[in-house]
This record gives sequence, C-alpha cells and structure tokens, in this order.
Amino acid sequence: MNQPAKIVVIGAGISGIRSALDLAELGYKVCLLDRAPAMGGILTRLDRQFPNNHCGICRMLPMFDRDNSEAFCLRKGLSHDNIELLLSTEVTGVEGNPGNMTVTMVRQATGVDADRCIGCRECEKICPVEVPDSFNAELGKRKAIYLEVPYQRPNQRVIDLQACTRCGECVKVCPTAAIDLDMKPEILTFENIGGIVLASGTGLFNPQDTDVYGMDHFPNVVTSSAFERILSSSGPYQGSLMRPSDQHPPRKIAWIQCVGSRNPMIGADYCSSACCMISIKQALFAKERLGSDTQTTIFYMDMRTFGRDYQRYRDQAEKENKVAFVRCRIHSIEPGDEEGNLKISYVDHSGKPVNAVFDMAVLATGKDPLRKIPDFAAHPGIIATDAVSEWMDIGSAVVSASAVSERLVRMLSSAGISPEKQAAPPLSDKVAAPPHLQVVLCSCHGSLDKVLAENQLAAELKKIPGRMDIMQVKSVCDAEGLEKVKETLESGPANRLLFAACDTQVFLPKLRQLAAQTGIPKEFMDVVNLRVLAENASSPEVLGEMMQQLEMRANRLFRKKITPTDSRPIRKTALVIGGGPAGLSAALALAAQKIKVILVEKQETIGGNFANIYDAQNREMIGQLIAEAKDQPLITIHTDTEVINNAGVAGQFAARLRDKNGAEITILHGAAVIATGGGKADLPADTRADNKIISLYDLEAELNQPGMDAANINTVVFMQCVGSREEPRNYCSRICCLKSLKTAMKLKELNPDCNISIFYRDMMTYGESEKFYTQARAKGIIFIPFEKQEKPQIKIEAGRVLVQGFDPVLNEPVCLEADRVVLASGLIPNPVDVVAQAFQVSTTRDGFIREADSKWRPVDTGREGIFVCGLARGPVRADEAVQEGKAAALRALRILARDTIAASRHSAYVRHAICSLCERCIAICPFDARFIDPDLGRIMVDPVACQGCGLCAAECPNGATLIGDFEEYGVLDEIEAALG
Amino acid sequence: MSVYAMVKDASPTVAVKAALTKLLSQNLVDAVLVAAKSPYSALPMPTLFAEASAMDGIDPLAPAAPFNAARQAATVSRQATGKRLALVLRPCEIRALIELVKLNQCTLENVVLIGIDCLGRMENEVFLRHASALGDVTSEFQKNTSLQDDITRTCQMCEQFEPAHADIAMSTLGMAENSVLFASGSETGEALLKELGLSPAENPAQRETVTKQLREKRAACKKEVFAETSEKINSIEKFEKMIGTCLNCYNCRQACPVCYCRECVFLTDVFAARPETLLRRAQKRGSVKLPTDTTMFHLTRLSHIAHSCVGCGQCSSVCPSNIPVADIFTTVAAQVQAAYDYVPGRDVQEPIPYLIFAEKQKSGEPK
Repeated sequence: MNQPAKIVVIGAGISGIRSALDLAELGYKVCLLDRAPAMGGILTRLDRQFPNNHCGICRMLPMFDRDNSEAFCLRKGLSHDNIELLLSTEVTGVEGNPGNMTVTMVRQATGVDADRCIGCRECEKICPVEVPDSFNAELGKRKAIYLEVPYQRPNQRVIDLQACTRCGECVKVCPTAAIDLDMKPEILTFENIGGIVLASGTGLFNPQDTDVYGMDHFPNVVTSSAFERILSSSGPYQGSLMRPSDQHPPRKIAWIQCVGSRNPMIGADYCSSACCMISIKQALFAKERLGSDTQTTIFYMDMRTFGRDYQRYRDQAEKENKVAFVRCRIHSIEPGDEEGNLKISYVDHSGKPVNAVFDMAVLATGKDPLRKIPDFAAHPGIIATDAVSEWMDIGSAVVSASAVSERLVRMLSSAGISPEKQAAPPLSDKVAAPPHLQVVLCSCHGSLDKVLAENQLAAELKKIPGRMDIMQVKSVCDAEGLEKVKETLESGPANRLLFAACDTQVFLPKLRQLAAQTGIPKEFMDVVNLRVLAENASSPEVLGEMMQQLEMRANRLFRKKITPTDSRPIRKTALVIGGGPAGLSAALALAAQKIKVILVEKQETIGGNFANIYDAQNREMIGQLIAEAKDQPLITIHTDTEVINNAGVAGQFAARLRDKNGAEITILHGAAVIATGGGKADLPADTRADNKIISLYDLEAELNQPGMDAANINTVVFMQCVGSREEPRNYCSRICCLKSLKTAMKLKELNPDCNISIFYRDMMTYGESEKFYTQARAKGIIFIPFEKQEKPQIKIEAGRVLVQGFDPVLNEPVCLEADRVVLASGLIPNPVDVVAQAFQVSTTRDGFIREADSKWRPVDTGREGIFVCGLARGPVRADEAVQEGKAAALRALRILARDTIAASRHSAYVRHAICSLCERCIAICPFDARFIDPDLGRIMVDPVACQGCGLCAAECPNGATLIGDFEEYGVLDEIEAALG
Repeated sequence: MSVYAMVKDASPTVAVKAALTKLLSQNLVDAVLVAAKSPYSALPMPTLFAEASAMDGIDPLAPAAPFNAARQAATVSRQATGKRLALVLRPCEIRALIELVKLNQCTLENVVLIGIDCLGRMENEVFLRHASALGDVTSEFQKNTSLQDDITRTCQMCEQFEPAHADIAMSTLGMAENSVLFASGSETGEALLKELGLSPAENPAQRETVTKQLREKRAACKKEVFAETSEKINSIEKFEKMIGTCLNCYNCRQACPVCYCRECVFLTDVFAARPETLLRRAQKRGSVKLPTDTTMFHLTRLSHIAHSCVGCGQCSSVCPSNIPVADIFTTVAAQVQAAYDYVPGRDVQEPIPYLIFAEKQKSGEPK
C-alpha cells in the first residue's frame, strides 16, 4: 500500500480542533483548515465559560504522548506533529471515494509570508489605514495589516486586502521582507485524502442585517458576542465593562433571549441551545465586575437550562445573585429619556404593564439562519459534525466532534486504512554525549551587526562555563539561514542549541523542524529574543538583561538530560459496563477497531430501556445496536453481572465481575466505559390518587398499543417537571418536553378532537426539536406556563379529576376536567454506588457519574482510562446517548489502539532512596496519577495519567519527586544566572 | 471526662517507675519507651524496655533531653507491629509525634501515650555540671526553684508544659511533695488507670493556680523573645547577619523532630554547588562567601516546618555556632500557625494546612 491517507478537517473551531486532535492522537496525519486567518472560531471571542468562569480549552490537549504537541494555551495556538494547520483556506472541490479522495483548496492571499514574518508589529505601527475591528464586534479600530486574534501565537500578521490602500509603508519597514502586496491566492491540491470532517460551524446571527431591536441606531444595544468582547481583557475596553455610547459602566442591563432564534418568520424555527446559559453567565459576570447591586434582567420565553447542572446554576443566579428573570418576548426597544438609555416595555408576571429603562441591552443571538451547508457536504467520505447544522454548547460540540471522529475512523478502517505506526527514533550517541552548546546569533538581516560587534556579545557568552560554539548568521527566518544552522548541527559536535533571534513562539515550529531533521530533541533547544536590542541598542540595561537571558537559557540547556521514560504494554481489551444504547454504541465502535470488548449488563438482557421505547426511529436504532452487538464476535456479553472492583492503571486494569449467583471472575482490560444508564422516575406517591392520573410513560405505552382507540379520550392535561427541576432532584430530565409533544401529537392524530393542555415551566425543546413545539402549537395544543412555587393543583371531586392552575395569557385561573392527567416524571440514573466505588470515580449529588470536565472532557472521568457516557453521566435522549457512546469509545481508543504507552518527557518520577513516604504527593496530585505500591513500599507514578503539572515536586520537601526536563539542578542554574 | 488517681508518699520518679513496671509485668503493654540513664552518662537517653526488671535507671523527669525523643518514638512506631507500646514523652515530644503521624511517619495504632508535666530541660553541659555537684538532679529540680531557672531559653518561653493528648498524663505541678497525679486522657488511658489499681482522686484545685502562674511567666518571656527576634530578622540582610556564622553542619535539622525527610534535600545533589558555578559567581560579583546556601537552607527549612514547629528548642541547643535558631523558628512559626489557626500537635485529625489549603483561601484566612 502506498503512503497512508491523510484526513482533512474543515473548520478550526472547537469541533474541528477536537476532531483533528482525536485523529492526530490516533496517529493519523491531519490537515486542519479554516477560512479565517486564525484558528479557534467563535471561541476566540469568548474568554470564560460557566459554570466556573474559566476558559479550560487546554483540557482538550492530548493527555499522553504530550511530546507530540506543544502543551500551552490552546486558545493561543495549536501545534501537533500530526496536524498541519492551513489558515485563510477554503475547500473548493472534492473528488474521489472514501479512502482516496482529492481535495482542492484555495489559500487566500494574506499579503504576508508566514514563514518570514516574525510578528514584530513594525508594519502595524506604520500602517495608516484604520478600519472597524471585526474581532471586537467593531467596537474599536484595527489597522489594515493586523492580527486577526490579538493574543494568538505565532503572531504573524495578515493584510485586509480590501481595506489596504497599497501605500507600501509596511513593505518598507518589514525587517524580514515578508510582505508582498501583490500576493495571489494559491490553489492547493491534496491527493490521497482518506476522509473529510466537516466542522465549519453555523455562524452567528447578525441582528444588524435586519435591524432587530434597533441594533443599527442604538449604540448600547449589542449582541451577546459583542458583550463578551466588552468583558474581555483583549477587548475594546481592555476588560472594563462599559457601554459603547459614553463608555460609562452600565447600572442596569437587559438581556433579550432568542434574537434570531425560535423565529419561523426569518427561517429560524430552531432553538440555539446555548444562549440561555450564556446570558445567565454574562449577567453574573456583570455583577461580579460592577458590583452585586448592578441590575440584570433576562427577558426570556423559556429558560432552557436543560443540561445536567444548569438548573441549579440558574437558581443560584436568581436567588443568591438576584438576577431577574422575566418571562416575556420583548416587542421592541425605544430610546429612553436620557442620552443612550433604552426603554423596554413588558408585561410582568402579575399581568401589569411595566416601562423599564436600561443603560444597555444585550441581544442573545445564536445560529445564523442564512448560513448554508457547503454543496460538497453530501459527497461520500465527508462526515459533518452536528455543529454544522445546530448551534450548541461546548460540551455537546465536543461530544459530537469525537463521535464524528469515531465514524471517520470506522470508515477508514473499513477502507483498509490505518494510521502509520510511529516509533520514536532512538537517541544518537551525539545527543547522549556531554553537553555541547551551539549558540546562533541572528543579526536580523544585518541590522544588528553593529550592536553585536560593539558589545562583544560573543566574547561575553564565552565566559559562561561549559563547552560552547558561537556562530552568527544573517537571518534564520528564511530557509537559507536555517539550512546553515542545520548543517552546522549535523557536522559539528554540538548537541544543544540556543538561538538569539526573535519571538519564542514564532520560533517553535522552526525548532520542531530542526529537531526532526537533526535528531536533537526539541527540549535541547531554546530561543532568546535578541530583537529587543534592535529597539534599545544604546541601553546598557537592555544589554545586561539580554546577556542574563542568554546565560539563563544556556545554563538550563547545559544541565538538560533525557530521562528514560517508562513504557508499558496495553491490554487491548475494553470493558463496557451497561448494555443500553450508550454502552452498545461504545462497544460496537471499539469492536470495529478490532478491540475485544467485554460487555457487562446488570439485567438479564441488553438494550437498556429498549422495552419502554416507542419512538419508531429510536426503536430501530437501538434494535439494530442490539442485533449488531449480539452478532459481533469480538463482543462478549455478560448479563446478570456487575463489576465489583477494578484496579490498575490505564492500559492495564484488572476488574472483578460478579454474577447474580455470586460467582466471581477477574478480567484484564485496558480501558473501561461506564454506561450504567438510568430510567424513568416513579410518580410521587401523592399523585396516585386516581387511575386517570398517569405518567407520561404510561400514556405513551397506552397510545402505542395495537388497535388503540382514543375516541373516548377527550380532554388531556399534561404536566411537566413533576418531581424534577427542584430540590432534591433539581435537574432537567431533558427528554420529557419532547416526549410530551410527540405523545400529545400522536393523541391528536388518533383523536383530532381531543383537547390537550400542557402545563409547563420552560419548554426544553432545544435545537431542532423546537420544530415539534411549533407544530404542536399549530395543531391547537394549549400551553400554559407556571412557576415552581405556583404549581397547578390536581383535585379529585366526585370521581372527576380537575386541574386548577393560572393562565397568564388569559390572566385568570383555569380549571380543567381531564380524562387523563399526564405527569412527566423525568429520568433518574441507575444506582452507581458500586460502580463508582469500583472505579473510584466521583458522582454528582444526584447520583450521576461526574465527568472530568463538563465542557472540554465530557466523556472522560477524572481517572485516565475510565470513561463515561449516556444516562450514567446525565439526562440524555437516546440518540445523544449513542453519540456519547461513540465519543467515549474514541477516547478509549487513544489508549487501546496502541501497543504500548510511554510517559511524556515532562512527567514526574521518584527517587525512592530518599523518599520518606509521607504521601503528601499522593494527596495533592490532581490527576490521581500517584499511588503507593504496597509490595515495594514505594510511591509509584502512572506516567499516562501524570500531566507533568509539578504539584508533587513542589510539595515534596526534599526533592524525592522530580519532573522530567524540569529537574531542580537545571532550574537552579538558570536562577543562578538570573540572580546575576 | 478525665479520671484521676493520686500516688502519694513516693517521689515522682518512683511513682512513674512503679506504674510502668506494672504495665509491663501485667502484660498491659509489650514494651515501654522512656528516658533512662545510660551506663555512659548522666544524660538520660530514650530507652526501649521489654522487661520490667531492667527499668532501674529510668529518669523521665530529669531536666535534660539530649534530643527531642519524638523521632525515636516514631522509629519504634513506624508501622504497627501487633505489639502494644507505651511511649513516655514530654509535651513537646508528644506534639512532634502527632505531627509525624500526620506526615505518615509513624502510627498511633496500639500505642499508649504517657505524658509528663515538663518543667523544662537544661542544656546538656548545665545539667552535667549540676549532676556532678548534686548527684540526683531530678529530685532536687522538682523543689528547687533557682535550679528551675537554669532551663533553656526556649523552655523558659514554653507555655505548653502540660501533656495534652496523652492517654495518661502524670502531673507534678501544684502537687504536694512526693505526690503525683495520674489523669486519663482517653478511654484507653481510663482503662489502664483502672488496671493499675491506683486510688481515685480529684483534680486538686491548687494545680490550676500554679500552672496559670507559670504560664503567665512563660508568656511574658516569650513576648520579649519574639519582639527581640522580630527586630533582628525583619529584613533579608539582618537575617543573613543572624545566621552569618552557619557552618552548614545541618545539626539543627538533625535535631528537629518534625524535619522528617529521610535524607535532607541539602544533602542531595540538588543544591550541591559545582566549582564552575562558584567560580562564575565569584567572577561576576568579585567574591563569594563560603559555605554558600546557608540562607537558602534556613529559609527552606523554615518554609517546610514553620507550621509544625513545636518549639522544643533543640535546634538552638545543638548549634555549634551559637545561632539562636529556635528564636527565629518559634517567632516565625507563631505567625504562620496563627495565620492558619493551626496548632501543631493539637489534634491528630487536624490536617497540616498546606495539605488542604484551597486556591480561593486568602492567606491568613482560616479555613
């Protein structure tokens, strides 16, 4: 077979990055492209996410094989040996079949040669053209030559060729001749492409296009993404929360939900899913920044807090932080009496009209209804993430992206394509020899010649103890200069390299390239920014600092050594706990990659809630999973069995299974997926007063009986959120609203005259399921909202079942006599005590298994090698459970697909001879990577779980714990130089 | 509630010995660790007794302790052995032992802690001088207040002279001559007191008066030392002057009961200065004082043990350069411990602050 196929990932937003990293971690070569001149997508403009107001995107970085990628802020940039990043690039054509496709792309002219640009900003300083800053929602200005995302590295500029006047000033000042104003777009053709992931996103609705809510003429009406920029320290006001008109801090802020969403008139018959939580977060942030007395009001139709822990977040915002929630669709915004203020009229909860004045209004915008899915999307071999058609929160996007990665890997393996096995090359004798440093002084095209000579930098460097060669080159930013360095390294004795050149981040890709060419590890190379001298050549302090920097890095490089890292074989067997949709899809995904699967099911049959599922699509989907799992020879199914214990580390676990007769066996495996599921919650005991009061599940079952006659069911009242979304079960079960809608419509189908009313708190028809809500209303189903503290009451009077409530639309009490009162009792997880204990994973207060990070690592647990999906993790629909199962399988495959697993260079290790076994390092390790071996009486480090964070080394009082590549002796020598 | 018992008409040493003899001979414990005169010196050394008949020379109340015995106690209680041990310790030794338990260096499983009132200890040479003049310093010390003024500077500022957290506490303060009060501090202690068959008693009222007086005297001394020391170490230059004659002998760390590392980081290669480094430093600065890293050593040790320092003063006692190490450590430790509302040795369940210190917790804010 010829060269292994590459994969193209279109779109470098969250989904694209996740998918590219998934595939790269499995060993595939990936080409990640984005039409923007920067990676990161929408996320580049969102600094912090709920629930913890942190960013956390770095948690998507590889957890092991970390040496393959730069482990720094992923928001700033992505660098992985297996990923080629192509920016300002769009796909124009796709040909061929899965496994062997040809992709044509066009790389737009940016006017700047990225290989030569050193990010010095000279061009930006001199550029006379100013245009509104699109990155900051046009609230500030930027130059025509600019950096798309100001904090990204490498920070190579691009030219906005539409705004550029071609005055040529930038060309004159560029020290590296990187600018070419006549640059033409470039056509790129990639052959032998195995498959394509389409992750191009949905875009953001722009209310300016239609002047919704006066976006065009009220400066203080901003979109939620503009508000994010206002909050950001890299934003137009450097992080001070001010309103645009007069740059005063607002005292009263309104959020208006569903702008551009849930609006069939503009073709937006969908919910954008994430905006409700974004607005709550922003309101809390505003209070944090401006004080708790800042008035924040969210105008909404339904607060869609459908994620597992979202309801409590909202409750806290409402109760503790006094964010006001007003259920009202705002008609329009009018100017207030004072300059810049905004008048919003609405009807409050008690039916009274209110005229409120705000300093600022934020429009919660979501998916762009005008964004088209590219024409080539339907080409075989292209798999699209859900985020292409739906706006979604980060966690869902990450799950969907990994599920797509799984489908792609399955497609490739059925086409006979597998990733190239990459064995790390052995270290050469030269690298292992005593340290010998090559210093390369870059005179930056001759501009530093004079400074370097006058200050005898080379002579000063020679005073640093250690073997050292020094060379001066004219420029290392072009191929010629770099080639000269490479030749010197190859022919000379040096095994360490120190560049005195320019920005470190700009240099990283060059170091990786040199490392690959010369066999000298990149850890043995470093860069000091010499260009600061160009600006401050006459200042003796700058020179002293420069010398100090060089000596610090030199000292560090002299003490570097490669510590051999442990490697261990992987048991290529997976343990899947739970045979419901999530577990089955995980098991099948793993088996498709030739991984043996042991599927453990507590019940006597697999399928989970299959018996209770009536939705035709779901029945077919799950039925197929069951059949496939039974047919798959690599899957061994143990029914009536539980996992009672699990020990070991990722790649090498041993689990104890016990069947219903008490017989126990031990099985060896490399990774486990917990998919213990959940099921319907019972109705509260006090609701069983009459047999006309039934659960939603009961009605669904009744209507699906063959030959069902609904003629005598004439009035039906549904009641949502029974027992859920309040303590102690304060979470949304996520399935009930849609199920109620579908069931109600089925009833309407069977009996068109049936009167149906649905009492609801917030209809949770997120995403595309909004369409069912729209249809149900069109079919004449009545929807009556209620608040948690004013629930409708069920009364039984002389055999009649009455529901008393209050209809805010009629603004009067209602009393409905019902043939059926249908209660949506929600979902609860199956008990997880035993499994959580066995796998030592943590649980939420509601009894779900807690993931490592709800946004960035949604199907990982805190313990490497143990994954979680489906209802065990939180309420999900069956199709979502299947997606999660695939995502969990993909995460497990990172471990199971390899033969051995090695620690990264930056991992902790222990000098046992001086260890006092106080175990403080075990207590402090945030990755559970350390444990005590009772037989050896030693502290052990799981090199796979260890992330090299260094807490253990800081905690250890006598240096018995060290971090590879960060050993004290090198760091102390560096400090020695820093102290002067 | 504690149970009390009184032994009268016996010197405290004799009463303690009688009780320990009974513990061993009735197989209530398998071994006893207690300070005893050795054949080589009048200075009592911690000694492990398995036979009651061998206990002749025990001298737990001697105003001398060549070192804090917590480390020796931790050596014999490193792991549970199935044997029951009685450890007779001074209050500062018990506190240090409790810190070592938290640091996983020993276990209190199957250990009976027996504490004694401590009137302080003398520096070794002072004690030996008195010993050669008086013979039995221990008995004389109990009644002779001028002899009691000869205790170390650190003991003079110690307010925690009563044994806390002992299963059995043996008290002499505020008792009539030749009387010892036994008090239980736990169910184990209570059961043992019963087994010992001592006559029940009340906690004598005058004890409180005597201990209060002593505590006030010690507190005044402490205040003075802290004020004086704070002034001497309130800048890095002054601190360096204070420790300027340090030899890097590491005696202080060896004497410290809570400096628990098997091998000190300063003995490893981590801080070992290489000749080229020293030469380069001399080249850059003109001169380098040797040994280097003395400031680093003391600051490191301070940061490692300030929260667990029990104020036993052994570090000062062993310094060949007469650096008042304990003054520095107790002064800093008092502030660190106050900031975290932490008292070393107060409770074995109370975790050492740095193990639980939360990201959001501001410094000085109690947990």
